[in-house]
Amino acid sequence: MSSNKKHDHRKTYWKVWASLIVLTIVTVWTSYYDFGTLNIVVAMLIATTKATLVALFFMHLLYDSKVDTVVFASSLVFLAIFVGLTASDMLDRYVPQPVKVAASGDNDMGDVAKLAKPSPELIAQGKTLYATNCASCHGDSGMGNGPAAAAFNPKPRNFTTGEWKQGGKPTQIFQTLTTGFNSMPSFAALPAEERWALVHYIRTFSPNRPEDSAADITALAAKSGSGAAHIPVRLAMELSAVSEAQPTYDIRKSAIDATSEGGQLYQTRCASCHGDNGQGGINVRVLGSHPFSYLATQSFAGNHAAWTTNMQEFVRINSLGLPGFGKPAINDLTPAQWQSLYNYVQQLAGIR
Amino acid sequence: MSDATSGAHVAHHFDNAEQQFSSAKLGLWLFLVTEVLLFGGLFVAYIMFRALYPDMFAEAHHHLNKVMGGINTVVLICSSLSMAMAVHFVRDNDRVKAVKLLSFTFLCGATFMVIKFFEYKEKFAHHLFPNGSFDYSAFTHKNANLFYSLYFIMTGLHGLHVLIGMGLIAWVLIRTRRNNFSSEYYTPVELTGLYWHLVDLVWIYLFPLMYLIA
Ligand code: HEC
Ligand code: HEC
Repeated sequence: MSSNKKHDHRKTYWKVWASLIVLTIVTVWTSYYDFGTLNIVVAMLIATTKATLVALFFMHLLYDSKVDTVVFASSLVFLAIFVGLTASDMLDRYVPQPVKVAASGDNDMGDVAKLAKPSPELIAQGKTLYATNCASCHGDSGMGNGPAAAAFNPKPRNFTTGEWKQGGKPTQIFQTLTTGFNSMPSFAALPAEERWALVHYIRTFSPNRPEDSAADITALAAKSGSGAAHIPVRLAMELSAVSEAQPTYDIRKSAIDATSEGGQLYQTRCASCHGDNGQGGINVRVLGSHPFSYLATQSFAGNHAAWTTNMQEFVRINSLGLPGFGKPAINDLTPAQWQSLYNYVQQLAGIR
Repeated sequence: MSDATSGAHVAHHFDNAEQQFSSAKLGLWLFLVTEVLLFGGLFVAYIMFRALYPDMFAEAHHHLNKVMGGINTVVLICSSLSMAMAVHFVRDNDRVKAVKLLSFTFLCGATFMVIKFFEYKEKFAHHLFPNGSFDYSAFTHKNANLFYSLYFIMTGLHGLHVLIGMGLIAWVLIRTRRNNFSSEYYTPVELTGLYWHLVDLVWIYLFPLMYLIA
């Protein structure tokens, strides 16, 4: 069988070996220099050259039946399809780009002396806030078993165990909420009073509720800043200022009925972030970012995303929200309300 | 071209030993295609996560040891050469040289695994294994554990292939010593060689992607 191909490739093998060694040295050597994106291109070119040498000579593809080559090449075709389809999906996804802002307004703590003490009103307010902001991770009953919990390591805290890594006094929990802690996002975007309400509500889950001393409260109050919270917003506005001219809404505005059901829903549920006329440009605080970062909403008009013509997509986007990007998940609308809201937003987008 | 009279057993559904040999080889190539796709899935995951978090990848990979990775690359390249040479000598009926080269190839595989062992050990010692005790504080990027998940699963799967390859080499080594092979029949050596070269080939990509990203 081999009598007919008794070619002696030993010399070639040595040459291939030497080339592989040289290429390895080159690729290691270039990795010490920074050519920007060229680094990966060079590294992959070298790797592919090496792989080709191995396949052609050591694996005999050059000498063997062409069928083997075709079979092997087919794996590369499938790999390309695999990469291509995945990449086209990933690149297509909507990934908002937050604007980083250096200044921090974390030290607005509200009226510490008053809010650091629980009251039935605060606890009731905290309960509502908890359901929208925390239950997804910490679970409805604070056991750390919300639907998103599986993704975390360490797990979201199970408040019923009484364990606090950052301390369980109200002032300490308040700070945890403000600054965030490992994968626990910062909730500094919530007004100080709401954070206090949350503090008092989650403490009701815990068997371990150390109290603040008077000194703790004065220490925190001393840190509480002035209206510093407004600085980053302004800064963010400048940084993320939309360069193109804003489209004008005057012509359509008269035709759009803001008193319709959809209009009412929009004005109460959406306008604060997307603008009265869907013009966008409003900075929404990204959760858990330190220092603050903001994401400017985009104008609905001129938007060609799938939701503009596909209501299902619209409902999907809004019922999921953008976790972490400050866009709330909306789950309490009836189909009729979704329909009228969608009609209204489509009008704002200039589709209808 | 020789046929069944000369050593090799030709199964009844083949015309001759040569056809049997190329069929076996084609079969192995098909298997290698599935291997490429197996690793391909992981490479796709790598590409996507790297596209999403380029800075995190750049930061996280600094904890890998370029020197150890580089030595391992050289070790595998040398083993590929000796494997190709071993196939040559088996085919040339030079049993003594073939056995030496196969032993050398086996030792290269073992060296690779020993170096890998020390690399892994160091990662565990520094809490870089992505389990509950992963040390997030060593990184500014929150999700550096992702890089290490990819690192361990990809190099782990590759390491498993090295071990399997070593097993196969040991097997053909024993059979070569028993004089089971000749220029007429050496299919197992040839196929083991192909498999071993693929293991090298995967590493050729793993090395720059894991250790050398800027
Ligand atoms: C994205 C998931 C997520 C959300 C949403 C979330 N948490 Fe957490 N939280 C975590 C994780 C994960 C931890 C555990 C962090 C650790 O132990 O490193 C945690 C821990 C905590 C702790 C314990 C800190 C300590 O000292 O041990 C408190 C208190 C807390 N969260 C309160 C809240 C409150 C209040 C909300 C809602 C405003 C909230 N969390 C929302 C994930 C989340
Ligand atoms: C707390 C702020 C906030 C509220 C309230 C809010 N959104 Fe959003 N929304 C965002 C952010 C941030 C984005 C992502 C940036 C962008 O694309 O404008 C977004 C994106 C969108 C998008 C996708 C836009 C695109 O470019 O494809 C739609 C559609 C949308 N929101 C509709 C609504 C509707 C309808 C409501 C009211 C029910 C609403 N949003 C309420 C913050 C908010």
